[in-house]
Amino acid sequence: MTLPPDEHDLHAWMDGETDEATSKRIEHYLAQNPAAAAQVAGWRRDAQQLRQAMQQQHVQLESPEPHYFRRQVRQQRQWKLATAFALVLALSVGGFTGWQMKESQMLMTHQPMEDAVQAYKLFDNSAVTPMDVVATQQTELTRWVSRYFINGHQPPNLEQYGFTLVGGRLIATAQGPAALIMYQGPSGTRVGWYIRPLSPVKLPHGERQADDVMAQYWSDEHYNYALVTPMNSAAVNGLRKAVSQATS
Amino acid sequence: MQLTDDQIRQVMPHLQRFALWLTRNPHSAEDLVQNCLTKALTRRPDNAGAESLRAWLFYRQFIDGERRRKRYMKLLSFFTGEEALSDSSESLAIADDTLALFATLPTEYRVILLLVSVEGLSYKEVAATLDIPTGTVMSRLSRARKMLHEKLEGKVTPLPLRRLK
Repeated sequence: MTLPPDEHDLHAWMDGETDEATSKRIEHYLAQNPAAAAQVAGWRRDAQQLRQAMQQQHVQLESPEPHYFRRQVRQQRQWKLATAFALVLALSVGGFTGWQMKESQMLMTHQPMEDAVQAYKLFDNSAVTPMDVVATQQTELTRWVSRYFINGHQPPNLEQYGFTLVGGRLIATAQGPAALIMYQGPSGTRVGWYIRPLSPVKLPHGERQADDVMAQYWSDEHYNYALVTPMNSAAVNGLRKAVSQATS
Repeated sequence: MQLTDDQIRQVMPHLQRFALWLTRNPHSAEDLVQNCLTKALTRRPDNAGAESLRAWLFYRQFIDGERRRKRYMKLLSFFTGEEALSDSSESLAIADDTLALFATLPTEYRVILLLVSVEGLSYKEVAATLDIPTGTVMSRLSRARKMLHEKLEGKVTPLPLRRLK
């Protein structure tokens, strides 16, 4: 026996937390120290009294069946899932509408294919502004166009409507090169076929009138296209009809 | 791995007793038990003997719940300007003198006595449950038993000045 056990040791012994050697040492100590033994007995009595009192004190608490908790958990999960789903839905609806708004605002602020209309007006008079390529052959022009517009449509052959090729002119836009291909009809009426990069937005199929010209426009995966025709000519009616049928 | 129905039924009386003497309010105790079991079903402890399951259930769920309740009460009394039900022992009719005295002990003493003397958890489990070192468990237990003994002997000593967390 070296040092007498301290209070913590006594508690540990009482709660069965001491190893065999320590237990023996403490039991020996308690046998020789009635005061310490009484102290431990007192704690033990208190604990017993407490346990007994708790057993006798009947407080009726609600005790749901286990399945109640499981249902609760399921409901919580479903609620979380629904919340997550609603969030995703709200985000995608918001994102999608935002994108749509952006497009429609673009269309509202920019007149569609205004550059085609302006180009047509500029090059309508060949005497003032000559063409880059003067070609009456479809193949020549086709080669020229495909140099600048990869995967783009080729300028159409409009001979069956009475229009023959005059030439092409390359134009720079903020989004890249554009080109105007001019055709001329029997009475000197000129129509322009215009190709330009898709951005800022892919245009829906449509048409609009600007002053004395009409622009019919459409798009494919890579480019916007327009056919610009003068308003005051009856010779272009057949052509317009054919274009709107082919692109709608 | 989830709690089985048997485990829930088995552990429920323990949880109820612990919650009741922790909160000293039957309604809070019911809420605590239900919260605790619902949480336990969403998160499963990794090692699960019946004993450590109990320890795990006491841990966080109850202690945290009680802390939250206290914070909430403080907030409530701050905004309403009234003394909220901070000491709710009156809502529990205690016929027994021993229990009435026990109910006046500070929360951390009640907790340690409940876990060790009533539930019979080991010091290690209690340490894990309360997230404190075993040494602290022992000294707290020693003080708690001393105070309970003095109360039961009729020698009422003033509470230590240290504020309870």
